Amino acid sequence: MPRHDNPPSSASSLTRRRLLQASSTLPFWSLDAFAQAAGGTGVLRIAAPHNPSTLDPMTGRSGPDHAYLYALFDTLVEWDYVALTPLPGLAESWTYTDPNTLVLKLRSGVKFHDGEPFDAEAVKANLDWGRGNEKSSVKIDLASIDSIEVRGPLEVALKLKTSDRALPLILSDRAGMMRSPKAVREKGADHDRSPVGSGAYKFVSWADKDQVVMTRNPDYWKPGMAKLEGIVFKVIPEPQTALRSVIAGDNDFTYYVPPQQRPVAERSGKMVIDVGPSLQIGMLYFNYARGPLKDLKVRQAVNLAIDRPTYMKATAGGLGEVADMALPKPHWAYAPELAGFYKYDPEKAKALLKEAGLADGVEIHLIAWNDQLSVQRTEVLIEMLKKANIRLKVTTGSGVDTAGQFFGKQEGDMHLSAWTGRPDPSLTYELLFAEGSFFNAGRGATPGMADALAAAKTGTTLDERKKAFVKVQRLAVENALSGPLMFDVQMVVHSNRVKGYRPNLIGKPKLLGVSLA
Amino acid sequence: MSHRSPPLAWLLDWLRRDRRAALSLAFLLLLVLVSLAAPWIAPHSPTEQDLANTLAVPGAEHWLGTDDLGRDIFSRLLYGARVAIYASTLSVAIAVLLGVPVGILAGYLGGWVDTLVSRMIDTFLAFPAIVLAIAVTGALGIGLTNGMIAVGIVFAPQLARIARARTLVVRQELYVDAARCFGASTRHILWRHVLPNSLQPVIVQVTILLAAALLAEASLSFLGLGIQAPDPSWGAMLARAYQSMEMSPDQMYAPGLAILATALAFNSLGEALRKELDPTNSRL
Repeated sequence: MPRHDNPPSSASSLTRRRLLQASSTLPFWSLDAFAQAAGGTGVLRIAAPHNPSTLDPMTGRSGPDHAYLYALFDTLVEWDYVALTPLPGLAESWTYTDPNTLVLKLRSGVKFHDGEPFDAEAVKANLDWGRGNEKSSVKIDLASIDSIEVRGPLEVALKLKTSDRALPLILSDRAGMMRSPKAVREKGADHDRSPVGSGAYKFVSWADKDQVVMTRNPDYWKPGMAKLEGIVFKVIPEPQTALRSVIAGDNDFTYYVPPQQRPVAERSGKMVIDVGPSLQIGMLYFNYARGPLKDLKVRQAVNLAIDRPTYMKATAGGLGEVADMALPKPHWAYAPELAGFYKYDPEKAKALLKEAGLADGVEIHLIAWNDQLSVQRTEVLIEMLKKANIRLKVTTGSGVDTAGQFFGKQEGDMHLSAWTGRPDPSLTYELLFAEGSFFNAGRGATPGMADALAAAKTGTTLDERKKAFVKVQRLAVENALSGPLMFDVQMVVHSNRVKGYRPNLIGKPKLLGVSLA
Repeated sequence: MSHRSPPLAWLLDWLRRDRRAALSLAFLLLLVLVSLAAPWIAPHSPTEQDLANTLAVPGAEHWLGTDDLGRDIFSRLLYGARVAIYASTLSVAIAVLLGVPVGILAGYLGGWVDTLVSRMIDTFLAFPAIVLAIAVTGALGIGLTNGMIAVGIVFAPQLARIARARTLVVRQELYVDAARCFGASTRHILWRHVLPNSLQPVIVQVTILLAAALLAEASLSFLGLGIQAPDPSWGAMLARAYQSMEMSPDQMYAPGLAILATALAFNSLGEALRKELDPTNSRL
């Protein structure tokens, strides 16, 4: 008699078994394998320590945005990674036909991500927007341009008010990042959140404070440089967590790693650690238009009261470089004659305060960030300044909030923050100390500064500009317009699957040519 | 609580019987003494830095070593005790002052007052405590006092609910009816009869809330929302220990154990009190 309650026939059980066997090989058919077949080499997952402020280069001011921007946009001029000397970018070449005219010859065959052509009209549209639009954050960068003339489909002439030799390198930063004019026109304010550039990677999505997703630009004009299938930036503001996510394999790459985390990365034994110099400087911004810091003697006292080498040792394990001015030693415009201008001397600081009529000391309102590393730096400064009779009243907030408070609303006397650096030193000094600049919290003028900045901008040779920069920096340092502390090292940690990453002196990662093995 | 034996005699008798209660209370009294005497018994200033001697191991000069800025951990621990006591008692005091009267009124008056208050209590209880504390701190401004006021506001509904439940029982008692017959005003009844008899569960809950408040302060300080630099608190010390965990993992023991021991003491005391004040306890 047939037994109807038997297990299924041998035919179907073999099928089920076969199915199980086949599924066990599924891991080998990974996303990467498919991606390889499609021409890319996988999706790079980055643990990003900052959420972008905006993804439109010309409306943002936050240094850490660049990691995102460099992937989405090209610049008219590029730079050498080691020395920051200018190189051709979207502009194949440029010449000063006369001291006040800069002619750019543009590269042909470049398209924006929305298919629009990159041409002279696009350059004019972008630069005019940057000069005049009320939302533009690059007005000062482009302030020397009087008018822009389209001379041919791939030739643009910039007519300048004054001879500005800093323009080429200025056009290697935000002001030179070319956006699709059609997209900017049509999207309006939305372009901040869904940008269209011409870079190696195209924007896909941005979940605020969560992640930014980009995909490969298959029509990228630098052959073979867009090697990744896509990039996902996962926003992880806590640096320890970010690093650990890379060590654990949840992410492949992280940057702006604090020096204290180096032992963690080293102990894992399988990470690639990249430590190098950067332009990023930790500094005290002063509001010298009002309040206790209006007095030069008080500003100088603050500078004299800080023991910079000890500060660096305590807060960065000694990794980095002590800062006397806004440029580090390797930079071509560094002024060695100003090194060590304010040597640590708390007694002299006290004496200066007494001269200023503040024998009992002075109270200064410091606005600082509230993450643990910043709290540590704040505590070191509180104690150091206390020895010179300077009492700090501290209020804290997030990076974005405190920047808005100090620079925007002009609250507080002093702000402990960082300057991420600019490709051309003219930009740095103008943005920090020029009258009316956003990062000059008091918005006031320093006698002689405008002329010195102009001279640095118009020198026709690097040597001429270098001499002019000595004057600029002397004015900034002797007038104690700020309290420079130290230059950070830039540390990048990535898995050994990531190939082709090269660090640059700016310290903001560029992912061109990076691939996943 | 019994009206037959005087409170002090009862207390001493209880401590003799219950060793856990005695230990917890002794520890907490010691903590209060230490925090009051901190300026005199701390060997170093809690904020004085010695940047040449950071992360030092315990030794004769620094009994528990130094932290990442060369500050004496033992001294910071002692001063941190003041913050712990201040923070816990402030927030629980606010919780009691806000929650108990509201709960008693709701329980005694009943009707729409009770309904309204109960729904409000339910709403507050739906929020996670830390989230509400962060929100209130955002409105009032960052700082330890504001943070603990926020925590107190978060805890008040718990006490209100307990007081209300007890009041519902007490108002049925014969002596309350008798007082009403004699023409006692509502205020007199509440103050003289209802309140004293509703306190037992409230007292027990207070000790438990003290532990929770301590942990809340530690969490807020850990997040940078409570105590502000450079003042020491155990939570802030933990946050810094986490930061230097790779270079010196031992930093976390002192503040961690201090928080643990204190929270444990509060909770143990609460447990012992609950057992002692249980109405079914034959001793009462």
